[in-house]
Amino acid sequence: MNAATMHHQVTRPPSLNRFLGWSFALHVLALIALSITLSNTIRVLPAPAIQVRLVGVPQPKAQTQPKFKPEEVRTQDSAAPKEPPPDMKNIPPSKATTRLLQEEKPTPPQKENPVEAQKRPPVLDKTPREKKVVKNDLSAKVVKDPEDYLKALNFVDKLEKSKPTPTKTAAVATPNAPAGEGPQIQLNQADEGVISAIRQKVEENWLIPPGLDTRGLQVTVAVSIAADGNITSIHITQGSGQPYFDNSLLRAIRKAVPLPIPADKYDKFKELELGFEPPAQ
Amino acid sequence: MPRLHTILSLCLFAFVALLAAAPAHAKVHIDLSAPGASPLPLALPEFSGATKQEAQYGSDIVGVIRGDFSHSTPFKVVNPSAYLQTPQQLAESGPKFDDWRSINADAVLTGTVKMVEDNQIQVEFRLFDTQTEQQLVGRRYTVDVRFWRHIAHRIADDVYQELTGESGYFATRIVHIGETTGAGGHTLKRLCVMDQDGANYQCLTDGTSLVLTPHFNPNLQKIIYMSYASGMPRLYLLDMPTGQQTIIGDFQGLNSTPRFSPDGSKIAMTLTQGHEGNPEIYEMDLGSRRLKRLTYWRGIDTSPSYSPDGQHIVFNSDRGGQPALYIMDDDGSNVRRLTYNEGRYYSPAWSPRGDLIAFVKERAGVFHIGVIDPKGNEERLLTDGYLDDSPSWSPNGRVLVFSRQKSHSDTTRLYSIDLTGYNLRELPTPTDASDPAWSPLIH
Repeated sequence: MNAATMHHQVTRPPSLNRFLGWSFALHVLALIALSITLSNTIRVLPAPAIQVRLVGVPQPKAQTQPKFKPEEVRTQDSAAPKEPPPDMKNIPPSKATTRLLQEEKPTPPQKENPVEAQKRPPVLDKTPREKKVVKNDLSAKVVKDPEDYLKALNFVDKLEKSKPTPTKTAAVATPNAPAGEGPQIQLNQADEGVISAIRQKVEENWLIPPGLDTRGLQVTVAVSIAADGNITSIHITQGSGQPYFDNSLLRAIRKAVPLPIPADKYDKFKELELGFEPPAQ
Repeated sequence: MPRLHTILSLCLFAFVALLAAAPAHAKVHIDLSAPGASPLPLALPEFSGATKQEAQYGSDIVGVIRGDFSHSTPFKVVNPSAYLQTPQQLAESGPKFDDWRSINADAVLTGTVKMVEDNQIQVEFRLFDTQTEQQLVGRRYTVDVRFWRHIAHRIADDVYQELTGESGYFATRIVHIGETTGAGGHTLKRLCVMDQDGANYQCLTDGTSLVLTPHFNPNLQKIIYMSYASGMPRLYLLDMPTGQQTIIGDFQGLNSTPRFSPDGSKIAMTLTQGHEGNPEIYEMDLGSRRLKRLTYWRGIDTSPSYSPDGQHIVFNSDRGGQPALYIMDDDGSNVRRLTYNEGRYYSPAWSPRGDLIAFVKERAGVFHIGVIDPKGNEERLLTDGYLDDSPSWSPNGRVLVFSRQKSHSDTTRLYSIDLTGYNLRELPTPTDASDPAWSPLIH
């Protein structure tokens, strides 16, 4: 059988061709519709509550602490204001031992890709910083090297979290579109009124300590709200890099609860995104 | 058949249109304006202890921490009499956040104290955000019990850093000149140091010779100062661990206003050698003791202060007609004038943060402590007084300590002020005091 005959054989009646054409078009449309639906759905899936904090080491025994003998601090006795030393003696501010219970500061809520977090070797930061300092300082000798006085001051123990972190404020990964993208919502005048009421209530509660340098900091927080106005989930989608700043906005939103959303507007406002961008310089 | 197709396609288009018109769960985005500024309300309940002694330390330590924060502009301490949970309840069951929120505390610090062997004290603290109900930071310090005050300041610094994003300044000392009246009725000036809150006061010299303008080096081990110990105004380096004093050169004329470079390897100072009493700025490498002249002007050049990166030096000169501030590169090149406003400027001090330069300004007989940015913009005067002098920065560049004489008949005391202009207060020194210099953070 040659190609020509084959071609001849697959000739279909015109009605079938028309049907196939419609079928193709409908499938394409259905796929488009599906993709739009899916993209919306994915956007509102609860953020994966993956905790990227490093697991703390169990608290070591007290015996592991290196100690400084009292003799080392003899000069402290001369610190008594009543008898200023005729010659000059230093009073080292303190002596202490170093031990790190937990290697890393609690990870502040920030944008964190869970996959990357898993890749990060969890033991990487376990090296107790400055541990070398205390290792050999068990002798009763006065520290001769001036540097050692200072190194000896590193004696921080970081504590594990006392309780599991609620997942709601965990650092989460949301490959979210930045503010402003995403599907547009048609807002009418009444909606604008709701927005301004929410904005006002959050802004009233958003305070940071005076005199801090906030230049260039920007932050975005996503909030899901229950029908009673309470928060069901809240997380930073774009952190400023300054945990104190991000936390201040989380606090402000929590203090603003219940958010002033009328019942008939609930569906429109149950998913909010609040953000601050510094004005362009 | 065509009819069916039309109906089907119409249905489909309607469906698609519906999807597009009502995006299922889109988010409303709300743009906020910049946050307001208000001191953060911090609750500081006493740390708990199992024994009476431990509880006493818990109370004393928190007393020191409350003192630190009550003078700190970014914070206000929530009145302890309003606290609903006792230290014991906190230790047993952790914070009841509803209770702390009800007294408007944004953060609460809890802790326990335990005595361990060899007279060591173990102090453990946790800082909680009362709104998010999260632990923000938690650490345990173990130290010889005699240094419990230092631990209190360390914890205050930890809290400060966590809640402001800036490093703290509580575990620091201030060196200064303590002034007392000697047997013959004349003033004795001694080199003295104390904790930033006035505790652990100690004088390092006996007052037999006049001392002036001390300055800490970055690792806290050395103080450089001017002394007339030899009868002549010379610069001395005091090694604190050994108590040894060494003279820095013995240059003819006046040797004054010494300042360490940020890495501690060099000293900038003013010498009048060989210029017929005309002060010029020099730099000495402490390792090689090599001297380098930085300024050339027939009038006065004095009071150098390094930028935190060590690449620039701000100084005082009358080359423009009256005393003003100038900045030069660290090799003496590229001199440019910083201050043009009316008045006389003295005693510049570059902030450890780098963003500001503090100074003394005298205009119409009134003295001010002020700040200006290194480009010469945004001059702000923080104080005014009969004689305000010698500003020195806290290591985080947030607070200035300076000396103030309130009137002609008054004596000189030390004061501090936040760079916002708030929280002016007198430091508790046992004697009159001048020429303060703040130490780096003792961490």
